Amino acid sequence: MTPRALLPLALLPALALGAACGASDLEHPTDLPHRANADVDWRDQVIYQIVVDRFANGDPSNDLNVAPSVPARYHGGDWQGIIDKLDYLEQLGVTALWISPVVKNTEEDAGFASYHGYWTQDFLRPNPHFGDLYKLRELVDAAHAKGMLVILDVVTNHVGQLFYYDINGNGQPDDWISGGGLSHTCVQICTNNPSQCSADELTYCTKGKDYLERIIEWDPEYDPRGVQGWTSLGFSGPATVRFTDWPDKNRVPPPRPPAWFGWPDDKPWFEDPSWYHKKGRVYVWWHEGDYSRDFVRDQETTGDFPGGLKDLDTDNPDVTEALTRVFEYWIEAADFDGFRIDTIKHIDRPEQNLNRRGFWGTFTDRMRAKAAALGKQNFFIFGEAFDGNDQLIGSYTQGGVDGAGRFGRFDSVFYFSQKYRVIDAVFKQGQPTANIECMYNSRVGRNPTDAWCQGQGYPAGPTFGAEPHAASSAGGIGLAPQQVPVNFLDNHDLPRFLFDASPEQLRIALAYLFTWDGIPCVYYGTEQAFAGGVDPANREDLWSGNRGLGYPGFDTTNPAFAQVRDLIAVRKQHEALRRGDVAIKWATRDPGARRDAGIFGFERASASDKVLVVLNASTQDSETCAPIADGGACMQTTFPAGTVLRDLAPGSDGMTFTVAAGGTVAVRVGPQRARILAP
Amino acid sequence: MLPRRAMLRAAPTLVVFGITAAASAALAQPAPPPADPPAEAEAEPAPPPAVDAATVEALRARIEALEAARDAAPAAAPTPPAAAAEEAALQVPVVDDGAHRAGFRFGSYGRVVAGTDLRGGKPQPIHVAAHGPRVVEESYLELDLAYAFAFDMGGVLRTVTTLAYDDQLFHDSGEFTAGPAIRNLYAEATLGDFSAWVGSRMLRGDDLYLFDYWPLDDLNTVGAGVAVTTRKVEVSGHVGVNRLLDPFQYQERRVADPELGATTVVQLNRQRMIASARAGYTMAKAPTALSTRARVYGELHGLPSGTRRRASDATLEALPRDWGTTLGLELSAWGLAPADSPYRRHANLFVRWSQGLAAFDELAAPTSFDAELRTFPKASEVVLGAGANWDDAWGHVTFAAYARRFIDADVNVHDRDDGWEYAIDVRPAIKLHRRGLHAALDLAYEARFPRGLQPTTQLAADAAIVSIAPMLTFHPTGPSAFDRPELRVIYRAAHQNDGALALYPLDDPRARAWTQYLGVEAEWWFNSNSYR
Repeated sequence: MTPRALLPLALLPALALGAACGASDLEHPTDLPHRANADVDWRDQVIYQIVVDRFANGDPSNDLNVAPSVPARYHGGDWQGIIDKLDYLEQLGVTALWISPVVKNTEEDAGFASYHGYWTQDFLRPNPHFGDLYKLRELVDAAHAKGMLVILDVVTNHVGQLFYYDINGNGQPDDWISGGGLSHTCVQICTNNPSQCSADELTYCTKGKDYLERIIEWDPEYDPRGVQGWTSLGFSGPATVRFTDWPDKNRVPPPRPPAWFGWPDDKPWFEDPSWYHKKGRVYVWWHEGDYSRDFVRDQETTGDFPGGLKDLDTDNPDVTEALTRVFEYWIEAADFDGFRIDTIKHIDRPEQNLNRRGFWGTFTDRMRAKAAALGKQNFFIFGEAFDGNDQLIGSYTQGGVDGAGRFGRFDSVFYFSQKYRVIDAVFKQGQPTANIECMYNSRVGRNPTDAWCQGQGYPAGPTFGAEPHAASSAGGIGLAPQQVPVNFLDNHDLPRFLFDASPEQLRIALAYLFTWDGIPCVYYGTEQAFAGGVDPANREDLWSGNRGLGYPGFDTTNPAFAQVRDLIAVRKQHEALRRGDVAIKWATRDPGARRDAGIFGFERASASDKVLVVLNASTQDSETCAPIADGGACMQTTFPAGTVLRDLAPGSDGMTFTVAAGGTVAVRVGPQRARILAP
Repeated sequence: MLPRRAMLRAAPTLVVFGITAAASAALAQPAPPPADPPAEAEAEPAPPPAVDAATVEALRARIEALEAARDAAPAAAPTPPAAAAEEAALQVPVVDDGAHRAGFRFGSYGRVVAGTDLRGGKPQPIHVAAHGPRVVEESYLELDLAYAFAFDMGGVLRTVTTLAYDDQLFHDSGEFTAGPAIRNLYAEATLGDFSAWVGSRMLRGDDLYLFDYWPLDDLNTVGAGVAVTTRKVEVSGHVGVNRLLDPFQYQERRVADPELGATTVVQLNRQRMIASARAGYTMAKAPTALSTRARVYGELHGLPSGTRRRASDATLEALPRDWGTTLGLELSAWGLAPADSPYRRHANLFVRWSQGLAAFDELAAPTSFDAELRTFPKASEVVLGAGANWDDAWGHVTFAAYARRFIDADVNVHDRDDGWEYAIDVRPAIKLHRRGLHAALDLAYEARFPRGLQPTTQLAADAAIVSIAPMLTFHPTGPSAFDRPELRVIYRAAHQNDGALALYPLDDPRARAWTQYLGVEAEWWFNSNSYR
């Protein structure tokens, strides 16, 4: 035997190598095909909002730092969990999943964890608590295979608590800089030099005094001049911004993008303080009436979001470009079908000037263009404007024109004004159902002279955009924002509907949600009758079930599940409930007990389908007729006389109603029940 | 030094990125092997030192006592001289591990490294595979202390203690501390072909010296074992346990004392049971002919269920029962050396397949689980290995290669923890002087093929390192590549491709395409009880 005889041994690793599949043969998610969505009409969708960490835990290997009993910590849910429970969602009937943010977050702040995903640390890398990019793509593909769309929750307004303002210059983040209430720069300046301050600032300093006794360098209060350095000896100019270096909490400066991202080396990135407004925390929301709108909006659009979430300077073209390219990447990599965008009212002021393109005018159009370039149609972009002001939130759905031509904004918004004025006011507090009519008329600009509505503070409208921002083929949805408000009863930022409402109130509110004009959005757990209060109590683990009511995790037999499922089924069966035009037939303007108390009747009609919906928000049996004292006239419909209308509502008593002469019909509805009537 | 069967992801973390929790566990891993081949005859021992008269007198008395004991024992059947000669000729070469001698015996494995990265810093090993070339290593020491008692039946009972020290050299760190790990602490009785042991022990077979890696069998447990070894047949088995000080297996917590104050209770206390068995058949020939051997090997791992308390929120977490299995095969060939030569020529081939717990290192907690928090049956490991050495008049050449596929237990199909890796290393040496001076060149290549994306780049990338290391070696005790002690002067240049660089954290200043090493090393082993 010679050394040569040993050479065949070298074949062994070669054989193994041949058998091995290298990483380089993996197809990157960005290279995978994208769903075209040519068949999608967003009016047909039922959105299901998922807080990923709380929905299902499919992969315990990524259970990093979980504390399942602590509401504000990670619990273990992940993208694999959603994949595992797609059958459950299919059974419920939802058609689009809105998943909480996917990017890597700062891990923890003051004991609160980033399980919700809104504390971005790195815009380009996925949150390892939930899986990796392949897993995310697997989720989207699996949902697509079941006919479901996937919406990504996006945050562009701010990042996590990545830096602090070193106000006193001692190089450490202080939770307390004493000053006895006069330490805040605003107070100092306005007190000592009132002529330098506007009336708003003087109000701010006076009313905010109680809140300004303490300066927290993580999250100091708003200062229109920018957060100022200060010690007991006086001011020292703009406070130094210091990024933390706490890798165990992932509180380190955002890393530069990988080389393939193509970001120029000489340009700053999110680790550069110049990319932030550095003005401190917004806090005058609850004093809104005391200030000029301008001052409030200045705060909202340039101040840090509470919790020390640092506000990005989205007027900086480099910031706009970076954020735009970041989220173009996410569409390409994960094949999302739409974006829900966080805190949109904290960027731009379209209510002042619709024709100033701003960040959103650029961002939203670029997203549509990117979708179109990928062969995706009907890319849906809706925003969260957490505000009851219909005109304000509606302004974000209006397009504009500038020197470069027309531009769009949001296809829709999360309909907070409706939440306050209808969902809560009508279905919980028993306010007249005419509020629904006013709300609708404001949105679409119908009947702008209604004195009752105007008296209730409803704007004439149209508050929402009347024209599609882009055709489906151009990545838009081909629908006007007026047609697709995203309706909801509750969400992750609000107490659950049942927290302060009865199951009967939920029943009627759900009936409204699934029959009314717009896209219904169900917060996960509604179908399990969850009733948690404010954040984080409203972010229960779905897998734990409803312990109070004895429902196991993912229970499909309880009444709430059946209610949601059956209402979705009715909506799917009737095109009119999804796409039909609205004609309001009955609404009450007088609260209290009367024959038609709580009645709201409306028709929805498409080319081939028509449905009459009658809701009774009151706690009594009511009827679609005026009190005898008021003449006793009954609701007039467009159905021909003699038409027999059958009740399709889940849990119906099976009653039928025959349309009388002139299309009138008296529909009697039990307390907090609904009738969905069709021939 | 790496965990033997660390998950694929662990490899770059441990080696490239420095110390981690897992790496700490790795430091408790077995020492590098002193011998690669199926052991052959040792070199002649050095002449004994001069002794004084008192010592001579004491030895004479001892000899007389032993002769008296011999005369009192029943006479053994005489062995025909011809048969004895043949037996001797066909004797399977074994390292004299002291099992057949009475009295005290001291052994050691050690290596000391003094080097520079040529950038002014202390060199650090870099690897992308779990086991790579061992050109750049850290200092390490094992002290082997054994005492054997002869007993009446003709057997020997010996106690073995092995203390191991890691890289904490006082002259290097200035820290006047060095905590030894107890690597062996057992007693073994040997009677003829039969032996039995009880205690804490490293159980190892043949290694790939160039990788410091035992591809087939490398266990570290506390337990007991038996072995029957004849000229042709070897059969051994052992059952052992470990209970790592890791919340995966052991957890204490403070509770209210029934009387007053606090006391400590054990919340989780579950031992991993590991049973192993090995059987071999040897066709031994004269050293000038080709001897061969086949071995089969198996392991069974079992871990009972338990409940631990999460530190994060004090909730309880149920840990289910789990299992692991291993099957392996080794084929060996050696011999073909000129008569009376000290050359060592051998080749070993290894195949090993593991599942569940056995796919992970037994001295570390598994790092991935299925939805039920089990590793079995999803986690798996396949290892193919080859090692060889050829000593000759011109020098020697040593070779090692292995390929490994690891699939973890989680549900992810695309997963950077999963994938293939391999390493190949060849070290030819030319004799420069008959007293053991050689010029050698170590050429190595290692690569990983993860089935997922790198977190830093979000790209799938194959990581690879190629290295070249010319060296001068001096081992005057013999001409073989495995003669020790050995002194070395080594220069090494290694190149990491982009895939390898992507394994580093973004801010790691060590992420450089080219790294260098210049060092002097000493390595020795003798009288080891661990390496046979």
